[in-house]
Amino acid sequence: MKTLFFASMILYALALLIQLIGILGKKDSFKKAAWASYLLGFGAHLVYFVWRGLVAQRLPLASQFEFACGLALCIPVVLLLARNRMDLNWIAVTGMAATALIQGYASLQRMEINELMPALRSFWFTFHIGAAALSYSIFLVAACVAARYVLQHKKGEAEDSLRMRQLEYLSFRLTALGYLLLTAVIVIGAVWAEAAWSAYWTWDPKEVWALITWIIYTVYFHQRLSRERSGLWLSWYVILAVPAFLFTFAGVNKLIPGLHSYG
Amino acid sequence: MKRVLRPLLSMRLANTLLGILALLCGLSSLLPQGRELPFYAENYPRAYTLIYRTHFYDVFNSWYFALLLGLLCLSMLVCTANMFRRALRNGRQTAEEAAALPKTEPLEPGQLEELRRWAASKHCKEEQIGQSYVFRKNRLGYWGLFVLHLSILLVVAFGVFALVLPKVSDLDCRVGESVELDDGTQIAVDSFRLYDESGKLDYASRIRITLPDGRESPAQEIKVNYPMSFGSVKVFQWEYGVSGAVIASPQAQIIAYVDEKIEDEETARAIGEELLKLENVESVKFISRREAYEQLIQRDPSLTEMADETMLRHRFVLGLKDTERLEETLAEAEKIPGVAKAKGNIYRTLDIFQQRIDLSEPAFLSEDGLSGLMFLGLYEGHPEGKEEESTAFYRIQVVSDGLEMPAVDILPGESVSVGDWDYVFQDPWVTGLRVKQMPFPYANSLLEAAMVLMLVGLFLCFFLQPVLVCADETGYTVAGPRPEKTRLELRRRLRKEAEEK
Ligand code: HEM
Repeated sequence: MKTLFFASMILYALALLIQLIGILGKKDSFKKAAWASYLLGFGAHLVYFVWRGLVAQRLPLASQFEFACGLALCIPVVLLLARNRMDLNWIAVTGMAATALIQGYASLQRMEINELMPALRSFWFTFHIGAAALSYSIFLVAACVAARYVLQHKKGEAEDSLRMRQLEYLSFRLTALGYLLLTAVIVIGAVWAEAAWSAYWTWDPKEVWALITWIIYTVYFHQRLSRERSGLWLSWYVILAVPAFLFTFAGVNKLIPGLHSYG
Repeated sequence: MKRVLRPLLSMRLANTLLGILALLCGLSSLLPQGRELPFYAENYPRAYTLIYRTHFYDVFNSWYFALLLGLLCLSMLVCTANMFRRALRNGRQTAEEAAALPKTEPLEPGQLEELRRWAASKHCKEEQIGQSYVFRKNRLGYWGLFVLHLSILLVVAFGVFALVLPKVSDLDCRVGESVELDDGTQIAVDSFRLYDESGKLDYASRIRITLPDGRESPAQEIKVNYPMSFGSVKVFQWEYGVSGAVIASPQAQIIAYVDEKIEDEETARAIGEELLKLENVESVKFISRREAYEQLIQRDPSLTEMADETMLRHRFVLGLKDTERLEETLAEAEKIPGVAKAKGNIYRTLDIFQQRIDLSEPAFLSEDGLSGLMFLGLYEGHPEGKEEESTAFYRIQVVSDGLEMPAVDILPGESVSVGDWDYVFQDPWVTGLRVKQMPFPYANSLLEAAMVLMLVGLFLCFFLQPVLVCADETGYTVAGPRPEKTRLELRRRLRKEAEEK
């Protein structure tokens, strides 16, 4: 079954390569092939993920490997769900790159399936961690959309064109959805912490960094909703916020010891 | 007043404060927080003074962190009041007022119908005022920002209470025993298990809570993630460990020390049966206090001191009803620590009959120093290596008349008799409980309700945006606090329709 995981990783990378060649050579047929490869990769990835869940008898999101794998899986899911609202080609390159990179990161982690320690065996596990994976993937897709905005701006497209407005609005909507989920992650985490450790909040590094991420996006909404900033500024903000949640997800576990460092 | 409040209303101030908060949080992860000061002196000798002066070792409990949080809350409070006014105003806007708004976007002839179709497809309420139409929906959404900011304030306020007010203590309790908290609450541990039915590590204790007012909870199992609440007490399964104990009891039946000299067995039985209401009189051995004393001294004159002490501690067990003697006896008996009231008027000290010995280190348990038990150790596992029945077992050696037998393993609950004593090995599990005493029973629910309100506020803000469009034949305008989504949608729809034509 591990083969399926690696196959999906290679197919995502291949999709990215073909898409890039298609863009450089201005060949539409390449783009179709890239999507085919991407969807094939997604299929393999999905089967692997479901298999792992069945073997572990839980949501397979309990270790760095599993979380990265789940996060990467959510990206094509979000893209497919959002396809009614946007032209997928807007963000094909960035979306594929993000998926391949995260999947690549996952492949560097330890892959064995471990039994959950008692502290993780909770009703809240699925919701807390599932919402986190979904939230981060939505933030990533929002950043992909924002990157497209910046690119179009570089190409000289006016900020008040309908497409640019749609792009900016879409990245805002996605960020809003990701933010709602992140808030839910923190709230559920607090309720869970009270049941497991007796305190809602212990200033554990993971909590602190989730709060930092939350504040960073709060400032984004303040800026955007007060209409003080241009679309370009906001798009850069959404892109630059990516390291914050990536650090919350990976950096904290690797660099700072704490209650959440499960591996 | 306004001059004071205005700066607090500024979004720039809120963002700056939020930025500083994020920065402080980020900086805090450069240094382990909340340890004892010597830890920093040892590990960061050069930065120690700075760390100490700036309270950097515990940022989240520093005065500047509290100040920052206070300022943020103040700013939010003022702002929330402002949002309330605005939401009220927007919510009350009448269709007439909306219809009078100037139309900013032109409409081609016939496009008004398309706009009405769009509004119907979005389930907007349509009202006609003269030549104008007003389309509205999601008025609840006007309250989004207010609900959101208010709930964040409540979360911070209740959150601070939830962190500061409860009294948390960690207690160890052996199976079959109970612990008492300062306020008189008792927690009894009936049983403990390490594994679930499928053999997975899943430690759990079965406990009962008795509140100071006497109310007793039914027994309930607690394990990690599944605490038990009763009244304003919440008990968590925190950790577990082993610690051995053995109850040593003399094989001779219950010994009753009495003040009177017992003339014959008959009288003794009569006293036992009728007056003392002992259930199993045959097993009671009656000895007068004087006699016991003499016997002891006779056996070993060096025991005089011990005998005196024994006499002092193990007063009489018995007294007779309705006699002065009884009154006296009871009054004296009650002064003795460790005296427990049995039934009726019978008092006895427990220690003389049964002795509980805590086994943490190898020990020799014997009365005479010749025959007894050598306790060697307590091990987790199963003596015969049965993993699925894994528990903890004792390793002991029997010593009889000074001779040591080979070591044997014994499971909790089993007993050994040596000399005149029975040794019963106790369940060795000690369960670590965390007890949280809240100021009142529903303190947690308030915070949790505020957190749910926060999610509702966010939902209202982002996903229930109010729509307010007014239009006539010549043009339309999208009004309301966040018109953007509607504006984009309408523009796309009208453009598409024009293109199709
Ligand atoms: C700790 C968290 C927060 C603090 C301290 C805070 C504080 C403030 C303050 C002081 C204002 C200015 C008051 C005014 O203009 O009426 C404001 C406005 C605003 N806040 Fe927040 N806020 C927080 C969270 C949020 C969140 C989570 C959102 C939404 C995602 C949000 C959205 C807004 C919006 C849209 C406004 C502007 C209202 C307007 O201009 O009409 N805030 N906030």
